[in-house]
Amino acid sequence: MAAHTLNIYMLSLGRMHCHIYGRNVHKALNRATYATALSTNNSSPNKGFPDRGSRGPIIRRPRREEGEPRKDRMPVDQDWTAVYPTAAPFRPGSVPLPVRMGFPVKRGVPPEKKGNLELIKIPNFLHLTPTAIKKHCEAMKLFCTEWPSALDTNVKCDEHFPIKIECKDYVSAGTSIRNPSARIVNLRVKLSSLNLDDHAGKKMVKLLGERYCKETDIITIITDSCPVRQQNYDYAMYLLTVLYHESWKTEAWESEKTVADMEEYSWEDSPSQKNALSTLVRMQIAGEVEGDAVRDKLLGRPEVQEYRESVIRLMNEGESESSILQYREAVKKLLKL
Amino acid sequence: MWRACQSERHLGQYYTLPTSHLHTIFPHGLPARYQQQVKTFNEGCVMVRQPALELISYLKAADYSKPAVRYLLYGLKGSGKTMSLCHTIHYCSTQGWLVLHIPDAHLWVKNCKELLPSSYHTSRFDQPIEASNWLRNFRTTNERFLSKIKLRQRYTWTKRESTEKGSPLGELVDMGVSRVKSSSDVVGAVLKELRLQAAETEESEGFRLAVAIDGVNSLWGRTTIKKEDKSPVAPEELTLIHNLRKMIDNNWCGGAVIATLSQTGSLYSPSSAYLPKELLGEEGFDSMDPFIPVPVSNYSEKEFESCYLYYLDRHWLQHPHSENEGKKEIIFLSNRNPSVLERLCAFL
Repeated sequence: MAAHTLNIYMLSLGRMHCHIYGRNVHKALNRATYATALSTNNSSPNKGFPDRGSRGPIIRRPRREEGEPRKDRMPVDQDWTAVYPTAAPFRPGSVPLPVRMGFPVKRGVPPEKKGNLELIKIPNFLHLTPTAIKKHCEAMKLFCTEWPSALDTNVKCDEHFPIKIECKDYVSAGTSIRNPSARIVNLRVKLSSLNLDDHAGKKMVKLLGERYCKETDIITIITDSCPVRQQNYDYAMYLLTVLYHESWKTEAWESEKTVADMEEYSWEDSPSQKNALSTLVRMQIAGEVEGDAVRDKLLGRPEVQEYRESVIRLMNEGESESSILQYREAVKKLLKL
Repeated sequence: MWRACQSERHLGQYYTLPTSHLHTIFPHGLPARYQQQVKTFNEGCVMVRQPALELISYLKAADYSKPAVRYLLYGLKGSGKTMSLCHTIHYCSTQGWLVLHIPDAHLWVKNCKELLPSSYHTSRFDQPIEASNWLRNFRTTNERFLSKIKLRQRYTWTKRESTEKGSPLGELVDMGVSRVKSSSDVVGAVLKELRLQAAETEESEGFRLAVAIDGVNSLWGRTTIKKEDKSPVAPEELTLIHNLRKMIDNNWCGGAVIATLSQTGSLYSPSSAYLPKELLGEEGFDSMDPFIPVPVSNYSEKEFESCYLYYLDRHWLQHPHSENEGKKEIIFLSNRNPSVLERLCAFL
C-alpha cells in the first residue's frame, strides 16, 4: 500500500513538472489527483507509531519508575570500595560529589554532572582510593616473600645490589594475556659504583651520551629490541659489560682529543694562561731573564693562582654576577691596580 | 681643573660639559637620544656615577710603563654604559690624552654599501666610507696632536704617492680623508703609529693613548656583509676590524683600552644577553683576557632622585602630577633604568 501510494505520488509530480513550463491550465485537475492519491487514512490503533499492518503492534515492556539515586542513600562512613570495586565509567548517581564539567556558555556555569558526557569520557580513578589500594596490597601479600631484614636502608641496598632491574607486568581483561610492552627492561646503575679510573670514566660518559644523568650519576639502559624479556635482560647486561671493557681500553685515535672535546676547562695550556703569563712578563720587563724557571715562579704566585681559580670558575660554572666580580678582584690583584 | 677632582662626594650630581668640548671631543660619540636632549636643553649635563668614577680612579692609579690595561663596561640594556664611556673620555681628554674613540664598532660590520678588496693584503676587504668618516671625526677630536706626532716609517700608497718618514700625522689623516680608496689602510697606519709612539715617556713628547671602543663584541662575532658570491665575510677579513684587534692586544704600553659591550647593535646574539662572556664569545674573551670588568647598573635611589630633579628643573616634566604621585608610577614603570626613564619622561 505504501509503495502504491508512492508511485502515484511520483506520477502526479511528473505531470506537474511537465506543465510548469507550459501553462498552468490543469492545475486544479492535478491538485485533485494529488490530493486523492495520498490519503492518510491510517487504520492502525496506535498514534505516532508506524503502521505495521498485519504483523501487529510492537510489544514493549511498560517503563517502570526510576528509583532514588544511590548517592542519596549513602552513609558518610560507607565502604567506597563497594561502590567502585573495579574501573568503571563515571556514574552520576553513584558519586555523591557536586562536580561540574564543560564549557560555560555566555553568562553560565559549567554544566552539572547529570547526563554529562564529558565526565564519562575522561578516565577516573574512583576505584583506586587509598583504602582500595590497601585491600589490593593485603590480597597480594599472600603471593609475596618477606623483605630481607639486613637490607633496611637505601645505602645498604645500593652497596650490595648496585644494579637495579625494572620490568613491568600488565594485566587486562581481554582475550589474550600477552602484552608486548612487558618485554621492556630498564637497567639502572650508579657510575661511581663501577671500577673506572679517570680516563675510563670520561670515555664511558661519552659512549653513553643521553643515557647518563650528570646530576644523579645514574646510568639508565632501556632495552626493548628483543621480543622476550629474558633476551632483553641479557642484552642489557651485555651492553653494560661491553661498555665497561671498552672504556678501559685506549685507542690510537684518542690522542687526537681537542680542546673542544674536553668536558671541563683546564687552565693549563689555555689561551688565558698564556695571556696572563705574557702580561706579567711584560710588566716586569726590566731585570728578569726569560726561561722556564721564571715561568714556574710566576705561576706559583698567589695572585696567579687566584686568577686561575676565577677563570676556571667562570668557564665551568658559566657566568654570573658573583663569578665576574671574583674574576675582577683577581685581575686587579694580578695587574696591581 | 675641577673636573679631575670628581670624587664620591659628587656621586649623583650633574656636571656640565662645555659646548666647545661637545663639538671637539664628541663629534660622533654620544648616544643619539642624548644628543637630542643636548639640543633641547641647550646644554650637555652628565651625571657622575659610580662606574665612571671607578674607571677614572683606575686610570689615575695605573702605571703607564706597563702594558695597557683593558677595561670592559658591561650591564643591562640602557643602564648607561655609553654615557659612562663618554664621561671617561671627557676626563681623558681634559687630562691631555689622545683619545681614539670608535663610537659604535657594530656599524663597521653591517650595512656596508661599498666593499673593496684591500690593496695591501689580498684576502682582506676595505670599507672606504666608514674609514673616511672616522678619520674625519678623529681629526676633529685630536687637532692638537696632529702636528706634534711625526711618522716613523714611510708609507707608500700607490706608485706615485707616498708619505715620507718624519711628516706629521695630520698629513696622513688628510690624505686618508681625501683619498677615500685607501682610507682603511690609512686607519691601519694611524693606529700602528699611535701604538708605537704611545710608549714614549712624557718628557720626550710622548702622550697617553686612550682607546675607547663602544660595542667591542662586534669584533669577534659575525658580520652581515657578504662577498660577491654571497658567502659571508668573517670579521678578520675586514681591514678595519683586523687593525682594531691589534690595538686591543696588550703588547703596547702607555695607555688604556676602555670598551663597552653592547647588545643593541650586535648581530646574532639574544636580546637578554649582557654578561661579558656571553656577548664576547670564546674568541673575544681569550683576546681580552685579562681585563677588568666594570658593571654598570640601573640608577640607585639617589641617582634617580637627582635625574628626576634635573628634569623638573629643566621643566621637561610638564604633567601636574609630576611632583609626587607620578614619581612612584615612573619608578615602577622604568625600574630606574636610565634609558627607559628618559623615554617615559619624553611623553610627559
